Amino acid sequence: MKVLKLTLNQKKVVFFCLSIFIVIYLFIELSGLKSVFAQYAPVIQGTTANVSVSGFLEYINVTYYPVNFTGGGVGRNPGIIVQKYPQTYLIIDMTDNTNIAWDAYMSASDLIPVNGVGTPISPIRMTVWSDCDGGVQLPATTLNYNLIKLCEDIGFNRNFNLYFNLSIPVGQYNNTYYGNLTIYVNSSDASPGEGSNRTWYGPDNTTVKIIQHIEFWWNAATTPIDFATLTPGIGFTSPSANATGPSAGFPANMTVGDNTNIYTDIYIKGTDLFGLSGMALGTFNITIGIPPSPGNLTYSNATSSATWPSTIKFVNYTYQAPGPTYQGDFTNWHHVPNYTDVPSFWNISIPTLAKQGSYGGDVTAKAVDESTAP
Amino acid sequence: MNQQRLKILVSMVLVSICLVSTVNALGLGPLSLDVTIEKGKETDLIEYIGVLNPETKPIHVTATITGSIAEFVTVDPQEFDMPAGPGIGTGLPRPSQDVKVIFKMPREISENRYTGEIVFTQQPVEGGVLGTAVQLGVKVNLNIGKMATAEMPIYITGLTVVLIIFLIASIVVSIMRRYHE
Repeated sequence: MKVLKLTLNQKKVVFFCLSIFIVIYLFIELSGLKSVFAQYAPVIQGTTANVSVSGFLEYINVTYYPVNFTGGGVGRNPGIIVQKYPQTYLIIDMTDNTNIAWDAYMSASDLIPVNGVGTPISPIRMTVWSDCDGGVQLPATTLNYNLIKLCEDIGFNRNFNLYFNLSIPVGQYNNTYYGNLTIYVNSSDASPGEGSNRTWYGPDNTTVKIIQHIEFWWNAATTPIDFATLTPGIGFTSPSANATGPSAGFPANMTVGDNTNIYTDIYIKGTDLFGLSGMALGTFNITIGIPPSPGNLTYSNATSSATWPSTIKFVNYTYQAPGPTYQGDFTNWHHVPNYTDVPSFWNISIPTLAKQGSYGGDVTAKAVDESTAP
Repeated sequence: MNQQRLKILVSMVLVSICLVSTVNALGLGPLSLDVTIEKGKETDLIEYIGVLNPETKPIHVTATITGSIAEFVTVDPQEFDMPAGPGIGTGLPRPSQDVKVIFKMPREISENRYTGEIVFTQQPVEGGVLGTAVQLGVKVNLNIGKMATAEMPIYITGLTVVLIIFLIASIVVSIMRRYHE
């Protein structure tokens, strides 16, 4: 192995060179000349890449559909306002590749009855509203066949809840109804062409089941049914009186209301009259005439006091035996022949030896599904 | 003759009759509930009845249960007030009250059919003697069916069949061996 040996002069030269190098290095570092030299240093340069990402709407995502107004029970009554059930709202958002804010619209069709029995329910019976989740919130509005804007500028990664009400028409026929729902989304930031708008179709996605309903109204009078003051009868010649005139419970109109969606029968019954003063007056029967033993209180569907039939004073005159389409009378219940707008007259006969005093009692009217027992 | 006249005069005391009445109205649905519950199963079942007020004044409604269902059925609320409605013929929505019908069936109830009615009676909210009332009712048919039989999973059935086949086969084989010996 050879060892490089330097002479003394050579060592001095090396030492000198190193010293010079160190001095120059320190000078450059400390004087800031490094940055001056740096600008003259060769640089490796690349080309600039300009990328433009277009606005895009991917797909509409809807959760918690259909819009079911039927509720948790057997169905809904007509003539009321109901909410979507069981969840009260839809959630609407856009899938992940959507990168721009969007506007939301909605339209709806009629709700059509199954088998065509009943009239369609118009979409204007449906009200929708939303908080629009930070977007521009529009007022609650009724739906229509045409698209109606619900929200503006929903963030691309946001979703919003949509709440529904249905005002079921008064008297709507009992049936199940189905309708269609359409959600439309677009954006002014989207590039033209595919991805600038999206549509979600929900066939049969609005539904409601309407149940049988009876609405019954008895405008007996705003004043008592009053027979004034009578004297007890003697033997078989009981005095009687008609309750006629506006201060005596006339007329008493029994009406099946317009929210009723089935055919009905009306029945009436009475209780015994009892002493109002608390005295031991006893009671006497006003049961409205169970054939063949008519009671004291009688009823007629005469149309005016002038036509009050002097020979027809007991309900049993209008009694009809049960038949294929007519239920007839029941124990304690008397059928009212016409099921709507029946002016009622009341006649009472006082039994013999009735004690002096004031008496009161109840008359109850009941409406039932046609041909069923009251 | 005079005594007869006296009797007549004595008996002719005054009697006044008054049937207090006001406007009465009520709406109701459904009109029937048909419920079937399995025998041998302690069950709490809930249905709903909607009561509506079409009248232009507040009303007070009470519910009563009649018939053999009364033992098992309760309603909540049993008595309630309702705000004024829009009036009949207006075509406007009515205020409504959902009444909860609770069927509470004990396990030991016998197989049978129970019937009855939940009757709703409207009365004026204001006090006084009630002369007229309007009633509407919901017919209830409650059927207690046969006890439910649990279905065995298919794999248990299959395993049982295989075991039976093995058992029969082993018996046959053992008999044949003895026969050959």
